[in-house]
Amino acid sequence: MSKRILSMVLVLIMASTLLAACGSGGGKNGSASNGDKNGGASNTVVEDTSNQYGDTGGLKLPLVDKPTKLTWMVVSEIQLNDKLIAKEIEKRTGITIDFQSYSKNTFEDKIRLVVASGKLPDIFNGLRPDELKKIGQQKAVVAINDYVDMLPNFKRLYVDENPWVANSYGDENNNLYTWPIYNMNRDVNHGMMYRKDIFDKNNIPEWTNTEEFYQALKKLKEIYPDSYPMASKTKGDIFRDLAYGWGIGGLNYPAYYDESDSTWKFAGVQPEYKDMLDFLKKLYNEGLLDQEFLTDTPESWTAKMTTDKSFVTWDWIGRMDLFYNQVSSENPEYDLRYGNPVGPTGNIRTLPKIDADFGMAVANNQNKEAALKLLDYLTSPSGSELITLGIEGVNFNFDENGKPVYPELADLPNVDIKALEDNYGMWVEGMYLNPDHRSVYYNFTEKEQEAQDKILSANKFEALDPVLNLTEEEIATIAELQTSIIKSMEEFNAKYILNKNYGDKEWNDWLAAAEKMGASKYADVYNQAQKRFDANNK
Amino acid sequence: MKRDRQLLVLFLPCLVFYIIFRYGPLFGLTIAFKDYNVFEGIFGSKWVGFKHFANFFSSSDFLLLFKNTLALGFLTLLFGFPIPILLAISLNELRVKWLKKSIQTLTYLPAFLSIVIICSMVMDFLSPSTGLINKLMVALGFEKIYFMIMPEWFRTIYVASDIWATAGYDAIIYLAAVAGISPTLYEAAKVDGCSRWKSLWNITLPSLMPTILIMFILKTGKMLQIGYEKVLLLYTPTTYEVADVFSTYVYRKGLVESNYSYAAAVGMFEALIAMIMLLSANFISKKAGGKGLW
Repeated sequence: MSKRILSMVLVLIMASTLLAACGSGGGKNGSASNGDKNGGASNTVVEDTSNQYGDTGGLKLPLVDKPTKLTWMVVSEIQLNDKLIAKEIEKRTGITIDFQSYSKNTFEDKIRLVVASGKLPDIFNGLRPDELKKIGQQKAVVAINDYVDMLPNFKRLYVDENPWVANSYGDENNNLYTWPIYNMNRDVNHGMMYRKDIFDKNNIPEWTNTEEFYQALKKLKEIYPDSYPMASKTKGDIFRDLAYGWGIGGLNYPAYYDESDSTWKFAGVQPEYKDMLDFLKKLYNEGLLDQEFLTDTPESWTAKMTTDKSFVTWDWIGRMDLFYNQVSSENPEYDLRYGNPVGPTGNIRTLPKIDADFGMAVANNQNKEAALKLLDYLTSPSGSELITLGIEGVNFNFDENGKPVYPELADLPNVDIKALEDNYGMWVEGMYLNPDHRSVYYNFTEKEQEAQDKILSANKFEALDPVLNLTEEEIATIAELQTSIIKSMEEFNAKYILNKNYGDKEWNDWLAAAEKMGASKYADVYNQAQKRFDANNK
Repeated sequence: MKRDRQLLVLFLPCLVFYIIFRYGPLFGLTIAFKDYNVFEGIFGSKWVGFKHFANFFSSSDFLLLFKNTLALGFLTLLFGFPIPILLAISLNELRVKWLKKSIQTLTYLPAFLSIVIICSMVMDFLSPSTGLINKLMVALGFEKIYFMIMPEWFRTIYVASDIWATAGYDAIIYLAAVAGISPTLYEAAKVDGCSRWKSLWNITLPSLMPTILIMFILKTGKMLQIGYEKVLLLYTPTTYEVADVFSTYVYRKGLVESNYSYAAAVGMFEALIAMIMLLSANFISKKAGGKGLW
C-alpha cells in the first residue's frame, strides 16, 4: 500500500514540475514588465539639463520626470543596448531604450508578425504608409498631430514650415501616423555605374544616350565574348528602377504621374513601358544583359561585377568604393564610376526632401508621450547631432576643415555610417530623423562627388510626383488590385524579355489582361485622390 | 477509471499541453468568419459569415492555386514516397559494411541543412553560368538550360530537391523495420532454396508492408502541406504559374498585405482538404488491407 502511495506522490510531483516549467515563461514576463513600470524611484529630483546639450528646439531635458523604459524595434545587425548612443540618450532624456534589432533580411517579415500579434513595440518603423494608416485608424498607433503642443521640433518642421505634410502623408482627416525624416537624402544615391578602367582601356567613351549605351555594351561583348556586360542584382525591381529613364517611374510605381497631361497612369501598360521592355529584350537576346538578371543574388552579382564578367550595373552609389575596396589588392586599376542615366528622358529619380516612407510610428499605449518626446528630441539639432555626428569631445572632434574625426576609429580604412553604427550605435535605420549634414554621410568620396556634380550640373532629374493622400477605401482598392496585377506584370515582364517568341501580339494580350485585372481602376484611384489634392492646395 | 488513475495522472500533462497548444489555437480560426481587426481582438471583430471563402472561391487565383498545390503534392508523393523504401532495401542488401555506412551518412546528411541552404545550393547547381549541372551538360555537348526561370522545370526541381533532402532521413524508418524482421525467416527460406531476389520479394517486402501503409497514409495527409519557404525561395516571376500554391498565397495575403481573415479562410480550406485526403486514404487502406491508422 505504502508503495502505491509513494508512486502516486512521485507521479504528482512529476506532473506538477512539468506544468510549472510550462508556466514559468509567462510568469517571468509578467514580473519583468511590472518591474519596468514601478521599478524607478519616485522621488528623484529632476533637473532641467536642456542647456548642456545644445539646441533642443525648445524641449526640456530630461524628457520624463521618472525613469522610463521604452522598447524600440530597429533595423540593425548588432546589439545596441550597451552602445554609447543608447547610454547617452538615457543620460540626456531619462529614457532607457530597450532596442530590439533585427537584420535587414528578416525585419520586414518580423515587423508584420509583431503587428499581427497585436503587441507593438513602443517605437518601430517598416510598415508601408497605407498599412500604418490602416492600423492608425484602428487606434493602434498614435496620430502625431494630436500631440503637436508638446513637440516643438515636429511643430516647427511639419506644421509651421511644411504644412502640406499632414495633407499629403496623413489620412483623410489629416491625421499623421508616421514621423517623417527631414532632409536626409543626398541628391544622387542610385544609378547606372560602369567600369571606367575597362571602358578607357578599350577606347569606349562613356555613353550619353541610350543608343550609345547599347553600342558600348556591344563593343564590350565583342572584346570579352565570355562576359555579359550588364548585370543586375535587383531581380524584378530592375523595371521599377529603370522606369525613370523612360519617364514612367515614381515613388508610387507602378502608378506614376504624367506631368504632360497631369494624370496618373499605370506604368505597366504604357507605350514607354513597352519601349523599355523591348530595349531590355534586345540586350538580353544579344547577350549584353546577364542571362541570370532575374535570379542573381547580391553575392553572384558581386562576383560578376568584380571579376570582369560584367561591367555595367544599376545600384547604390556607395558600391563604387565598396567594390574598389574589395578588389583593390588584386586589381588596383579597378575603377567603377557613376554613368549617365539610360533611357530617352536621360533622367534619374528625384529624392524627396521629406520622406515619410520609413514608417516611423509610435504605439498607442501608456508610453506614447515619452516616445513622441524622444522622437522630437532626436529631430532637434541637439538630438540629430547626437545620432548622426556623435558626442563632441567624447567620440569625435572636428578637424581644422570642420570635418568630424573619430580618434577611436583611426585604424579603419574608411569611417562610414556602418562603422559608426557598429561602434557607437549611430545611424541606425529607424533612428535618424533629421541628419546633421556635417556627418560623414555627407562627406562625398571623390567618385561620389563626381556623380553628384554630373547629375546636378545637367539637372537630370525626373519631376517628383505629388504625394497623395489616399482614403481607407482607396487604399483597400489598391491593395486588392495589387497582388494579382503586380504578380502578372512581373510574370509578363520576365516572359517578354526571356521568350524569343514574345512580341506585339503578347503585348496586346497583356494590355487586355491588365485591363481586366484593373489597370485603369488602379490609376483612377490616384486620379480621384489627385482631384482632392488639387482642391486642398488651391 | 479507478484502476487506471495513476496512468490518467501521468497522462494529464500531455492533455494540458494539447488543450493549450493544439486545441486552443484552433479557436483563432474564427477570424476566417470575421473581418478581423488585430487591435479589437478576436471577440471585438465583426462576423461576416462565409464572405472570405466566397471571395476566394470566386477569385481567379483559386483554380490555379488548387491545381498547383495538388500537382506539387501529388508529384512529391508519387516520386518521393517509393525512394526511401528502395534505398532502405538496397542498403539492407548491401553486404560491404563501410560502403553501406557511408551511403547512409551521405544520404541523410542533407536532412540537417536548413531549407534556405538547400535552396541556394539548388540555385547554384543549376545556374547557367556557374552551375555544375550546366557545365556538365555543356561538356557532354548539350545546350545550357536556364532551369530556374523555366516553368516546365519548376516541378521537377522542386520534387528532385525534396527527394535529395529527405530520402535518406525517411529511409531510417524502413531500415529499422527491415532490421526487425526475424532472421529465422530468411534462414528457413534459404534452406528451402530461395534466391536472394525471391526472399526479398516474399519476406522483406511483405514484412515492410504495414510500415509502408502507415507512412503512406501519413504522407497523404501532408500532401497539400507544401512549405511556403521552399516555394518562395525557388520561384521567380516566370514560374509563378506553376509555383504559386496555397501556402505562398496565404503568406502574401496574410503577412505581406495584412489580410488576416482572408488568409485564415484560405488556410482553413487547405487544412480541410488535407483532412479529407487523410481520412479517405485511411478508409481505402482499411478496406484493402484491413490496416489503417485507427
